[in-house]
Amino acid sequence: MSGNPLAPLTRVLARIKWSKVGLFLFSLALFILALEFMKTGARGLAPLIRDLLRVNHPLNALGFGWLFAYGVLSGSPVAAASLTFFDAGVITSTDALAMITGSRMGAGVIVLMIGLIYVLRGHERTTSLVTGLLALVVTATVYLPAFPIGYFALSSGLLNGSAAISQGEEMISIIDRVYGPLVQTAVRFLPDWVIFLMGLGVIIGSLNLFDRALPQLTLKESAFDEVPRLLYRPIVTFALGLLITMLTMSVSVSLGFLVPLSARGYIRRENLVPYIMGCNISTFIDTLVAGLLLRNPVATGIVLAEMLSITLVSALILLLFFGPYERAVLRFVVWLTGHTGRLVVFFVLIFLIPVGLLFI
Amino acid sequence: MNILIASDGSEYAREAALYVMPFAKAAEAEVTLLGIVEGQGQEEFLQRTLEALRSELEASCHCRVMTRIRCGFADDQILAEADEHFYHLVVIGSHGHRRLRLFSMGSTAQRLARYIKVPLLIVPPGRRQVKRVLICTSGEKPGEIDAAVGGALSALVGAEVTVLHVMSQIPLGPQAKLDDLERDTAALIESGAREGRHLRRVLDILSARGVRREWRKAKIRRGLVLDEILSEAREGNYDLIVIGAHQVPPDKPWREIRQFLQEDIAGQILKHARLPVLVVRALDETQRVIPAAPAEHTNTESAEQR
Repeated sequence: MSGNPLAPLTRVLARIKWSKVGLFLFSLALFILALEFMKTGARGLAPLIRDLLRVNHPLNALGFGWLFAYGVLSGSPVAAASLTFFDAGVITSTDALAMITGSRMGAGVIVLMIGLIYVLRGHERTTSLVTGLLALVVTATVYLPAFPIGYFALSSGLLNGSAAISQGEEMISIIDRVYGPLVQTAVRFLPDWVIFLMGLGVIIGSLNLFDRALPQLTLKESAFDEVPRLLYRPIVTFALGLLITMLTMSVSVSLGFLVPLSARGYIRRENLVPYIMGCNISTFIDTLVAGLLLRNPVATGIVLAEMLSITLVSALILLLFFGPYERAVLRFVVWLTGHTGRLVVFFVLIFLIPVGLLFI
Repeated sequence: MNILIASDGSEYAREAALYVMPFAKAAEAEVTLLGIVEGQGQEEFLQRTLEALRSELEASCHCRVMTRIRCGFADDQILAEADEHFYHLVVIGSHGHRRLRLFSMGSTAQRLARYIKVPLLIVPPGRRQVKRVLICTSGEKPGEIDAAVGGALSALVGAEVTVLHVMSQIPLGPQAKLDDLERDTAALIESGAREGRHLRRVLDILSARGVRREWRKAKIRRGLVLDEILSEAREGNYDLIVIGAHQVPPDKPWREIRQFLQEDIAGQILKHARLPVLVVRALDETQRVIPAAPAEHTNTESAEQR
């Protein structure tokens, strides 16, 4: 009696949702198209960025990226845009690094907005806002100290060796052949800044489609109690955040992945802080891909500088003083939500600070 | 009730033994005093110390005290003794004799807490009376076993019992039920939420173990689990903390990995608390539950003391 040797493979293939695979490939195709548009159109925005907004040093680039992320309600398109601006010579490499950092600060506010809706519906602010505030505070306390490290790494040439990345000539010629005609058509009929905005719209759409292509995680009821216990060690939860966000490339989507781990939509404080720290590193995967697709090794180096500096700061916190850090962050968030006045001041500040930085 | 007290002949072990005598007396327990010898030439010293301690304990609790000596590493010998004979409770001091260095909180107690199947009471120096007990429950089924063990011990000496559950959860998004996170203890119990139902069951278990109504209460705190337990223990002036320790059932897949990843609040409390800690680790809820005290020794005796 002989079994079908292909049976295991057949079973695996039968379980794959091919519609999601198709959606993923389509979103990837759109992502590449978006980058081609943005790369082509970025130069057209030089007068706006350099002359009108005067984005000419890291501090105001930080503010610009921050506000830009507010505008598009996402950090990834802004990070990709910063690389295209750099590639077009509109901003410097260190300004691009700052703009990427600012984009993550802006993106952190989006998670906060979910809780704000609950406050406006009359729920107790402490419970509604804690998750979003925690995500934002963890992001700020890691990214901002990481920025000088990334700045030093970039400007000292330490990452220049990484510029010798294989450019994948065959893939690039395929991209040129497929997308070249579309881009050329757009250039013929539209001004550069419109092409850039078109690219921005397409990249936002592609990331939304990508989110829909992600698998839905479900857990048996019995696992709801066990999983938070198994995710107790900070380094384990950090690794989980890192791995999940390699797939999702979005901190807010990765937080949504935690929902099936709790029957009632909760997360333990002990699980959340290290998870967000892990998410904050691999959220740059799509930006790294953008840097590679731009065929600009320095652009890739900018993203690597960001990722490595954040990884270094995160590792130092996790290994040396995670307990005090976690308590301090949680205590700050509880203090913040303890009084309406403090919350109002906080929200005003997170809008005024990037505006102030932009006009330095 | 069968109690095993491990001793290295140190003053700390003596204090731990004396600490548990009120429980032994109330339960009319059989006590085994286990001396452990790690090196050569220590047996005679230990034998003499154990005999002196045995006399002291028998005079204190009016119960039968046996002595036994084993040779080898302390944690291995205690585990072996607990496996070979049936005990309801194992008691060790948190520190050992400097010269013999048998029990150091960072090693023996921690290892025992991780592997022993019998409720383990770890007693730091300077503790005598138990008047207020803090039972920490995670809100899951094993918490009921912790309450049964802790409640039975508390009832023996007429101690007040507070059952503490720490809600460390925060909402993830729009689907979260916020009400359960916001209610106080009484409202949570009344509401029938999962944690409330658990606390109600635990209070019933305490009642069944002999803790009178006026001396038992439930409490909710919000924050990091370890921090809130330690804060409550400090602020509430407790004399004993009861905590469950998770153990992965032998039939679970990836057991060693799960054991490594498993939350270890009990181990953290042992490191940071300055109080006696009772670690309850029971996979089989029918065994090791300390029998309820003879009726004449339950809270009526404590009423006289008060």
